[in-house]
Amino acid sequence: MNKLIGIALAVIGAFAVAGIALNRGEPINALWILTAAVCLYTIGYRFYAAWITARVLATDATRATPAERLDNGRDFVPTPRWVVFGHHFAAIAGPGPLIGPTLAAQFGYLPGTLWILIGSVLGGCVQDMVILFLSTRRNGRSLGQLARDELGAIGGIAALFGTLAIMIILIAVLGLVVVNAMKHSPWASATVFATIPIAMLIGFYMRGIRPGRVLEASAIGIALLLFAVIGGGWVDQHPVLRTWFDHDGPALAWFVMGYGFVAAILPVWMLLAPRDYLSTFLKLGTVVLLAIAILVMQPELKMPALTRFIDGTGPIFSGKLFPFVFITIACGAISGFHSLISSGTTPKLMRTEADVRLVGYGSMMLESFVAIMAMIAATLLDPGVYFAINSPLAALGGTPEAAVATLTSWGFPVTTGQMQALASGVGESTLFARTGGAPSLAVGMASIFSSVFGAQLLAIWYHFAIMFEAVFILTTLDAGTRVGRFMVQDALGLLWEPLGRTSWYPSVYLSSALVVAGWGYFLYVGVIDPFGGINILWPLFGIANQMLAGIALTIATAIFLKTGRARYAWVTGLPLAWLAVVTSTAAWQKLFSLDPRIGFLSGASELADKIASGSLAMDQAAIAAKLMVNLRIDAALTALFMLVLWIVILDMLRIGWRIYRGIPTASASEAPYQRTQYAGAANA
Amino acid sequence: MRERAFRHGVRLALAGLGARIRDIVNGASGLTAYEQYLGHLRARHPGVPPMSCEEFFRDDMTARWNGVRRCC
Repeated sequence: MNKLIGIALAVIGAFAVAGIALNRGEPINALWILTAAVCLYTIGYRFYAAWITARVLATDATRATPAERLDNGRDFVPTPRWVVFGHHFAAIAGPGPLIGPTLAAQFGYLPGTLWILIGSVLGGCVQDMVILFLSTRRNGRSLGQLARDELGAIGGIAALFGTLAIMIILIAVLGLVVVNAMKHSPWASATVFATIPIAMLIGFYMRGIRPGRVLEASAIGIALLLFAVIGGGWVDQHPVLRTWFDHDGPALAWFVMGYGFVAAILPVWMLLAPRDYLSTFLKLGTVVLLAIAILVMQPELKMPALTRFIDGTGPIFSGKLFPFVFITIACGAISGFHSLISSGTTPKLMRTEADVRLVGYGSMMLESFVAIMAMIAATLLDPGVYFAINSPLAALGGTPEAAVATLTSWGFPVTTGQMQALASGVGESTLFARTGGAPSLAVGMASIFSSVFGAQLLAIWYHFAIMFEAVFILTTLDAGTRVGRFMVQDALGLLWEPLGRTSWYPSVYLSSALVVAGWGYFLYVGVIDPFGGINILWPLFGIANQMLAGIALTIATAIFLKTGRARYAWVTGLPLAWLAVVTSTAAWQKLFSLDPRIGFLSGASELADKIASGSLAMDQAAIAAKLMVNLRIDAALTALFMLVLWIVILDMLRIGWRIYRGIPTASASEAPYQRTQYAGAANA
Repeated sequence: MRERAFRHGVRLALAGLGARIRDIVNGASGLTAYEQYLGHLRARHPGVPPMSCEEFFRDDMTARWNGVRRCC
């Protein structure tokens, strides 16, 4: 009880002080946000999550988990809780929580921060934990299998479609982020290219030279990566070498596609697995370093709490605060993708059900914390600089000079001299319109790091941050293409059996090419889009991700209804209702808004008019025609996402209605109780 | 005297913490996977000849990358 009061006071304190600072119009220190975050997470974990596990899920430490019952020493292995936590966090934490908050900062620091905190504590963490628990009770079944068991064949197909669609969109948008970070930057390109042979070298080391010596190999790899960051600087200085790495967007897009194809067909030990080890260690190290640096530096946020762009006229992406902040920040608040991990490898490692709170809820809290740090890194920049980096030039008047004039007239003063000084400080030729969030995050991180660990190193820190993001974006790209390949092979195998064989080369090449073509198309159109592509692709990704979260929460709610826990159904039902409202509103606006900057269809007809009127030059008209087709495809996809989400929800409501009417409806698939053999588990 | 006991206590606590962190890192990075597999074979299938370390890691890596392992 004392603890309860203490923690409650801490939260009230943190919020109160933040509130005071806001009301007086004083700038707020990042520490207040960190404090508020830690307080809220603590409350969520100690009380809400504990209540859910005790009452709603009724976790039973005496019940043997699949890891214990089906222990095969391989994928089913009872594993200590912190080790599972490490695995699970490494799997869920990708570049998403770094990019979303950076983009959403255009509304000011407050909306995004509140959504990250509240969304995770009541939504994202709950989703991850509940799905982890439900899958653990069902022998580690996947989300697709859970959907088929609990909602029927339609639910199963919906989950499968959702997974593949989100993978394609995610990879396209991440590829775009990397391309935008490397565009005409010899330093960044050289460093990112160097990560590929380094990963392969580590792969050979782990396989041939010292098998299984993961830590040793990773340490060597990290050292080489750091050297690559410095080496990139030398390349940038060299008059001839630098031209080899100075490429425009389309060339880099083709490179990323080729890379994705090769990575999906190479054996995993050669590229994918070693790259993944490197990116995991790099990620953990950087996150810890960033947290320490923020604590030491205690930066003040220069971005206002709310900006004028909550009215929907923002230059980074269009659309009002509601619903678009909730679509832009998916990972970090609630991410449907996590439910695939929570129902994949992790439940097969759980030693006891008692660990679901730490692994499911706790990992997501940490991920959310990463998103908070990304928000801090974006909002400690001068707002003028932040907008100049993240907005496409086309949205600000077309040239750097026009851009600074526009931004200054909006009340975010910035000069070309300031931008030039910053660009040469970080070793880039320009920082204008480096859309996608990575360069702006890198500038933010570099300014935090360099103020704590040495100011002369600004350029090194900037390119370290770019390399850090690129490394795990490319990991997601590899892994995602590979998973997509397996899914396509499964589907093609139904048409003609040999195409389903995972080791038959014609099938491997065909299915990999299909997946790469899928995301490569969106990536390519994004690259040639004068508005940078992010403003189209990122909302599409947000809608897809929230749709998957909706499916996961629907499955959980359906299981609660079926197992006599209807009075607790709101635990997943409320986040589901919120997501359904937000996602449907956003999808509706993306489809039917008459503002061509928001609506896909009106955007397409505006382009069609322009082409028809002949007001565009030849090359512009060619691009416009491609964009027009792309906008219509995006519209169709959005409509499909909504259709899938609502079919699944209605299916769940139908089950709820049957139960309400008293028609018995059993939950199909829970594995029968078996007592654990572990001593002392009962009182764990 | 008390100070020495205190220091000793701190050292023990730090050593314990270090060992735990090492275990977590080793476990989470898959370093102990082969020993785990050997232990499992010994306990459950005593007659089956185990794979070599190289074979195991090759096999294990391929198996592990067949599903969704990384997210956004």
